[in-house]
Amino acid sequence: MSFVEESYDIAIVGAGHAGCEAALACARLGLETIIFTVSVDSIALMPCNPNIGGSSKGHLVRELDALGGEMGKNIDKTFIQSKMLNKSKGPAVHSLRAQADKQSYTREMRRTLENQPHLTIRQAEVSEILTDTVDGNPVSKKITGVKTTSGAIYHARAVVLCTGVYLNSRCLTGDLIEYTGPNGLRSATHLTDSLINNNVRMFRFKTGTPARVDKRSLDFSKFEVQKGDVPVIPFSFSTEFESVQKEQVDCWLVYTNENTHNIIRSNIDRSPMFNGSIEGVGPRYCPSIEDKVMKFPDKDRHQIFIEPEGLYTNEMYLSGMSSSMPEDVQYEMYHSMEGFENVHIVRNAYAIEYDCIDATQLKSNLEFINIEGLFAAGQFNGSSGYEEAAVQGLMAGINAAMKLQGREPVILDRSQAYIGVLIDDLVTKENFEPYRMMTSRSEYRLLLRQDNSDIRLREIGHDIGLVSDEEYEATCNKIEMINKEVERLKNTFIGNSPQVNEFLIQHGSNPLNSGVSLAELIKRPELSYEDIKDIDKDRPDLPYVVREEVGIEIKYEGYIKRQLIQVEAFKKLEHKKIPSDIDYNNISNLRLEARQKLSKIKPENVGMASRISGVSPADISVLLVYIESYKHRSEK
Amino acid sequence: MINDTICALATAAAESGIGIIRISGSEAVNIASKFIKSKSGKSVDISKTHRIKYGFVFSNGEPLDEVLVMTMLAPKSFTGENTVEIDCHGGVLMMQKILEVAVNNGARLAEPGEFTKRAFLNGRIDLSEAEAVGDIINSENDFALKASINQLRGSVSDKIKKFRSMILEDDAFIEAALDDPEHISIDGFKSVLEKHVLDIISEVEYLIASSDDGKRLKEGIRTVILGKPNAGKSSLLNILVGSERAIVTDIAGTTRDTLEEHINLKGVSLTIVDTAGIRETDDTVEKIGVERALGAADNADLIIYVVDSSIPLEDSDYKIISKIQDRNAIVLLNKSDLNQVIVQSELETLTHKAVIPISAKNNYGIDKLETEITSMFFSSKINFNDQVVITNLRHKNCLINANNALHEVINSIKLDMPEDFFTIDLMHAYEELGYILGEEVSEDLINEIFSKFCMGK
Repeated sequence: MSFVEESYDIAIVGAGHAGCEAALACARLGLETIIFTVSVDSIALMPCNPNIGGSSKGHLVRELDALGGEMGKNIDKTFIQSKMLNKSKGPAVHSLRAQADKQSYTREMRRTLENQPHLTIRQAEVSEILTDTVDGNPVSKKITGVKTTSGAIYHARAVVLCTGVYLNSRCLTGDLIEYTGPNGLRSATHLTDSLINNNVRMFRFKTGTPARVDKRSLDFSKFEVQKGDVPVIPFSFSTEFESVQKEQVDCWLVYTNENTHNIIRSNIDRSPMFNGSIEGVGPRYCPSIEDKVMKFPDKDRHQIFIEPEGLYTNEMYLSGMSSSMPEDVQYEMYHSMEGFENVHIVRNAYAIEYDCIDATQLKSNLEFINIEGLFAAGQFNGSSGYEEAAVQGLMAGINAAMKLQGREPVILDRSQAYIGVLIDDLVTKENFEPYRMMTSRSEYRLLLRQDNSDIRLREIGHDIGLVSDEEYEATCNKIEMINKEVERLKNTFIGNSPQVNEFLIQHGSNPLNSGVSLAELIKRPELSYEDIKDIDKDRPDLPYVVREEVGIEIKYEGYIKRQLIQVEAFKKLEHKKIPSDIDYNNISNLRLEARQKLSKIKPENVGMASRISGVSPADISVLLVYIESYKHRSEK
Repeated sequence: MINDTICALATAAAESGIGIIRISGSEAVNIASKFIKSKSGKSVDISKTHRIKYGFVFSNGEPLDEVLVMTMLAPKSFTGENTVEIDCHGGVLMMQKILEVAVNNGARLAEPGEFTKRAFLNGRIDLSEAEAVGDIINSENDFALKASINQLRGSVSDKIKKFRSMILEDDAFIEAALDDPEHISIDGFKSVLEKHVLDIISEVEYLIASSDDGKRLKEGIRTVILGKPNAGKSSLLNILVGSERAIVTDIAGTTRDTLEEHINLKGVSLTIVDTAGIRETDDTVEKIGVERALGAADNADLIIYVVDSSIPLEDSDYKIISKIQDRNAIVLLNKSDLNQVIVQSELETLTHKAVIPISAKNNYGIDKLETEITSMFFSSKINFNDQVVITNLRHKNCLINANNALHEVINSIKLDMPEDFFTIDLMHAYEELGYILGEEVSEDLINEIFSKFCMGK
């Protein structure tokens, strides 16, 4: 039985980190939005690690925040420890990571959603997407809404799928297989069939999570303590600095040992990862402990971080020790570590398998090429991680809204944001494992720093309508202060007075023979912007975020310039659009492999085409020639 | 990238009287003006369109060649862009040198088919020819790839592969540590990296220096002489060269290494390679010679197979016959002055090649061989394509770029920059070296990170 219930502008399927961002973006842009979840109590659930951010993921959160997303604000409200990673390395790889109080995180996000105008929350499992054909075209379809398992129909002009790991999911602990989503939540077992009926290509991926243990059963005297940073740097550019200076909890470090490894080795045939009962493809960067032991036999120990799951629970997360071993092996394995002799396991480690899509079926705006109005984000697209999910949710939500409002899509390119790198990789490169962001995936990372995310993206967020005038003005002021100060440092010359030279010698720097600009001094390896304060008499009093930017811009000017030149070259091919109705089979000079790949992935511009593996530079030349003649022909 | 200024040879790279270098793009005149000067080094105005000027190509402050320069400003040129054509004295080496001067002054070596592509994109070629333009790009690219691989001696490509894997491993280590700083520490890695990079630099610089002698370019059509020991290969070489270059004796297996000679046969440039005879041998040195002979044949443009007509075919003959299948080859039936055991027509059926009876001893039949070679050349069955010059220069350019990038790494280490600054230039060097091997970068780094380092939670 089916019945018409309601009509909305946009329906969001799934209320995880992607779904929440998508729903908030759409509703905030004034569109009537409904978000579906199998459990309202599990909105923005963190079923795996209890933290937000980390190397390159911290960049994603800051970029999301600059564009007007929620994750950064939410973690600022609910973090219990915070650290800037890689502080000893260059500014491009500094990355924020905060431990979350998981329950608070979920509760705060739920509160934000519940109080958002234009947003309706609905607990139901979506079983079908509803589509219409377009002008009798056998390939192209158009979304019209969704149907739930009860038969209720929700009309929508756009739908965003953010189903996470819930599609046909099953959890494995050794030979024990449970057909549920994470944490025993119900899985969604109908939607995959509906997608396949609409010619969507599916993949099956897997991921895993470690056990949670009772804090009271651990001997903390055996562990190394890991403290948070003081002061804390907030994730959100809108968060008051003072509001995040608070007491933090500790994390702890312990190591596996030879005994742990022997237990794993002697039971390896009982791991579903190794005995073949797992069908999904797992990520290489987030290996289970059995993976690490088998793949790196030379390492006699592995680091395990012990992290609290929240302030009001005794559960501790064992980062680095995910597993799909049977319960009895897990029991032995966890007990083998120092300080864990009497450990009580609260929840077992498990692996989870789920259906996701081949994301090359999407355009850069995260809309299906062949199903107009259907958008997709998060783990459903084959990514992994809360942060990767959130940024895709934000972009899918924004672009669904742009479409309905008749506005241009918002597409960030690889030189603008990590978000651009992530989405471009997902939609152009064939991806056979859960995709995680890494700084090495970004070609222009010196430009895409976490500290300048607001400078790069605030304006775009403001144009979209998700960043307030006040927030935008703050960024404009920041930029102005930076530019003025950089100018001043380049044009302020300092002579070779005895005081100056004495100062330089004190700082291990060569004395001056003639005058130089302050900027020149800052570029010396042994000096920094902060260092030369004492010989810079007219220095204005500037906020930390401005001083930081000024220091980076001057110190690394040469490197930044080189990257800007690379970006110029990159943009040229990026601006060459490929007509959407191009038929690669008509281009006989293209090599067969290139023709097949291009037909499948349907890149939107020549730059994207050049990044597809199997497409050679000569193919790109042929393509450019064809596009040109195509243009002339259609002009006639 | 699409609108920059490019250069290439407009005439075939051959030992001809005159060669033309073409420079095309908005900066063509400016670039050419930098190195076209009067004999005394004064500037020559080449800015007027469709005028021919007389001058000299200058390199490092010295005149290199006396040339005529023709400027054709946009849109009245083949490509529809500003174009400068330099008529220089022919000769492969001179043309390469002038091309190099153009590159050093800011032009980029043209990609395969790029002039034609630009002519097309600028509307200088009719739309109906789009298909043909694609074909040109494709065929030139195929040839360039083949030329690129053929010209890389095994030892050089092994070296480049080694440099690349060293760079990739170090870079992956840095990236792994940046990505997972709590599990992987790179403290103290700077000095290790510095040593690795300096090692690579010294080897790359040696390769750059040795690419300067232009030896490969003088060669022309690479012609390899194959045959059993004492079939008369060295005698043939000596006749062709006109000197006693190879040691000729009656003892089979005298030529134990390959010998190379450069000759000009009725206007066709050839490099003749004499090889050790092919037979089963226990003599170690000779064995190496045999391997080289077969190796030399793999890289040959033309194979001359010399058969001793006075003794029956043996296993080693069949080995050679199978080797010359699908190759440009001429079969010489030598020792026609002695008792004939092998019949010409049988050998023709067996090899499907032209068989010419000769007597190296009596200088008989050599003229027929010469005619056969030149007619093969002029009917374009065998050729010496200008891609050889381009490839050589391209390889050298890549090495220079890689070397510069590696020096940037050393510079960053000296400036005590954080490790993440090294990776930009490391990967740049890796990419440049990859172009030489015709390899893409794409997922190499990510794969290396995951395969070598234990990552993540």
